Amino acid sequence: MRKDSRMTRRQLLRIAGGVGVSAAGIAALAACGEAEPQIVTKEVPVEKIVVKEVPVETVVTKTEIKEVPVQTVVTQTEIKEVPVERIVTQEKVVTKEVPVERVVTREVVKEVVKEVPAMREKVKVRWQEVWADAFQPTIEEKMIPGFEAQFPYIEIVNERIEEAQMYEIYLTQIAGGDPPDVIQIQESRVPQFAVRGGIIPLDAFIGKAGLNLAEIFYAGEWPKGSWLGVQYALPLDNTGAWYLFWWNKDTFAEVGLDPDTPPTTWSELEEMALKTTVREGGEITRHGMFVPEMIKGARTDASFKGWQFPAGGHMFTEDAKQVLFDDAIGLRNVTWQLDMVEKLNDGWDNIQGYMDAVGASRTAFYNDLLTMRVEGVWFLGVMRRDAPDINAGVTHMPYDDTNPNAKPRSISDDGWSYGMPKGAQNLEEGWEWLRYLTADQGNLDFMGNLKRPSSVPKFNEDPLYQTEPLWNDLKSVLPLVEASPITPVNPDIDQLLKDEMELMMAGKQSPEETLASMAGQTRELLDEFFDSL
Amino acid sequence: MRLARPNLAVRAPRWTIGRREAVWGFVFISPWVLGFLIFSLGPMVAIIAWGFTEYDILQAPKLAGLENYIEIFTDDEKFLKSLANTAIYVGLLVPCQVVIGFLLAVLVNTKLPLAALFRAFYFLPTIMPLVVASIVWAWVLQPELGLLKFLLEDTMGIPTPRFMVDEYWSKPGIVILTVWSSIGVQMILFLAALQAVPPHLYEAAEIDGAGPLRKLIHVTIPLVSPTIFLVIIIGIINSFQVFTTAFVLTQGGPLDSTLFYVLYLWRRAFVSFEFGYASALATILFIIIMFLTALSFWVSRRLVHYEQPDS
Repeated sequence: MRKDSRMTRRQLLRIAGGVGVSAAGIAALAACGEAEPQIVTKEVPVEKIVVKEVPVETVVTKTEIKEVPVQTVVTQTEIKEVPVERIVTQEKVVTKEVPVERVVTREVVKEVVKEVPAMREKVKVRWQEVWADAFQPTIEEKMIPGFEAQFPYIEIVNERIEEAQMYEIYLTQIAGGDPPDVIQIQESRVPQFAVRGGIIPLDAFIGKAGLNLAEIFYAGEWPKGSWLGVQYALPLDNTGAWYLFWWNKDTFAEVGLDPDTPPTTWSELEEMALKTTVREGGEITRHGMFVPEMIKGARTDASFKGWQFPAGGHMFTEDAKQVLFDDAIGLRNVTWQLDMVEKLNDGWDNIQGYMDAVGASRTAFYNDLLTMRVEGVWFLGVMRRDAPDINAGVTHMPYDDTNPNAKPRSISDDGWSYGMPKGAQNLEEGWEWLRYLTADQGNLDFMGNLKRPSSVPKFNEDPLYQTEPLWNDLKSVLPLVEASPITPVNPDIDQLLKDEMELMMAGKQSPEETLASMAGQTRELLDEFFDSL
Repeated sequence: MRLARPNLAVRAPRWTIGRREAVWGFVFISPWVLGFLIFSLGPMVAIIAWGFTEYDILQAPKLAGLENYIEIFTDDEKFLKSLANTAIYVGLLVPCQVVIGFLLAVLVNTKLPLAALFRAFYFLPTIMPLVVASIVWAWVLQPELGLLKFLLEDTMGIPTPRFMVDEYWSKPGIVILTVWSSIGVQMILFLAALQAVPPHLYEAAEIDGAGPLRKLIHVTIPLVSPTIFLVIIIGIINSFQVFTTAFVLTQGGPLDSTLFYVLYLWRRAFVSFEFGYASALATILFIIIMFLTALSFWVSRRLVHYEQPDS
């Protein structure tokens, strides 16, 4: 019996069905798979800073020299010399140097950007920062869209945290294995994180990007983000000018002083402070100056550091291992501060009420109860917000004219920066954002909005700032700022400096005891730390 | 033919009603129990363990034995200073909370018009965040430009204490702020206790000729004594952990007079990155609070009157 080899209808349908299902499955799998994104380039208008420089002028002069050498002609009968004319042209290049003017303008230019189709999944970069709500519109409307236009495959997730809790949050996240990719960090804390491996070195990223930090940032700014020569963070703002001198020009004019000539030395400061002090019925109704007042008043620790540099002194050796302030300059610093409180304010009791956490000394300055004070660069924006009509001036800290080596200079050992914590997931993308925030357009967008100096000198030339009448005065102080070595036990040292200065001001110990105690405790902390390494 | 004998043995039910209810009871409280085990007991055990280590949270802890405790008890002036500051603060605050909370509750317990409005009014500060309250009070008590100075000294010539900048007035300043911001809770607790006092006891006392003061001493206070005890216990536990007000207002100053225990512990942990040391400090605080709570319970046996139910 012959076997029927024909396919039944049912078999045909089964096979057709199977093939169909397989094809559909393959198609579905193909559709689900990651397709190679098609990169489209297009031109988009981007508002950016354009720095134009007039090129070096080159002058080329041509000189024609006629040479008439003798050519020897040999014929069959004679040998004779025939003069031949030859023209040799010598080019002499003369470079004429012309003064170059750097013109900074804000222009809308067309920039070619790469656009990746939406089908490629974006990398989310978690960014934690502590700036107040008022700055969020700049971040959300300008900085993040500006960056994402350049890097369409990166999505920035902005996670704002409270400044008072920032280190608790960072440490908990790092310990829990879920840190963000980029964090805002104070430079005074960078070595503390660095020695414990809590923050990632940036040198490889900086090298790959070809960044020359010394060319990009102020000299007093970028070294603060490093520890033992390794860069861990890049600076955001120029908080190096933490110690600026502010004075009320109207009060100066009222007492017959030149409103545009602030004191530049300690002697002038004393003289002008006494002249602007008003006493009524044995009480001071207007103070000339609170010499130990720094920042918000409560930081007497900063008053020692703040006056130590204008006194001509230093805090630590470059390797941050040795104390340098335990000398005659340090003693002069503390003695002078105590002396000034007695002479200008009739004692600590009369001014400690202003040394509080709510900024009473600022209010006193706004209300003509205080003529001169010291506060950092941020005070410009604060003053414009709180007392926009005040006629104030800003300059560098007066220096000690009894020390021939003293000069106008400021210490810089803190400020805001950005780094990447241990365990960050998206290092490449996080680095791009970090770079944009510190060395690129994001920095200008943010600092310009705050009207605070950037850590990048060229950004401080931006027209954004030029409406501020005090801008040029403030800007001129920034190069006087010198970075001071930051130790990994910096927060503890700050605390003990504050405690000891306060004890001296309250009359509980002498200047000599104060300096000896500050130096001794600081040495102990440093030795203990370096011995533990 | 022999018929199969039916199995007459009745099988006892596996779950009694009581057992079944107990199981459901455990099921219902399990979220809390789990939460307690994971988020409270776990960290407590970890902190006790870290107290014997050198730990900075960024690197693995290293066993240090009793080093932290030896340093705390032999070489740490700030430990004793912060403990003394905290004890003084607790000693000032808790009696104020009890007395003022009780008096306010008595006042708002009267059947006067607007009594409900006053209750709400006194409770309002409690819902204000402590940080905000601290900043507001910093300006009220500010010794040079504050509202209090303006009202008393500048207007009436009455000298005002230099709260927050004088080492002797800084703690009372923080006590005033804390009483203001927390008194609503104590008032509500006392109010609930006052309203639970049976009216017939007052009627009986009146028949016996008791005036308002005798009724207060012999009827009201004994019957609200469990609430007084509760307020004292909560007050001790909470005030030993004072942190926010000092952190916002004084940062421990002036001259360390508001360096409270938890503020000092926080500094060692998050400023100095000494978590092992801070854990040892936390363990000591835990023991102190446990001891004071146990002491309060022991004292309460003599002083607290618990009403026995009729049944």
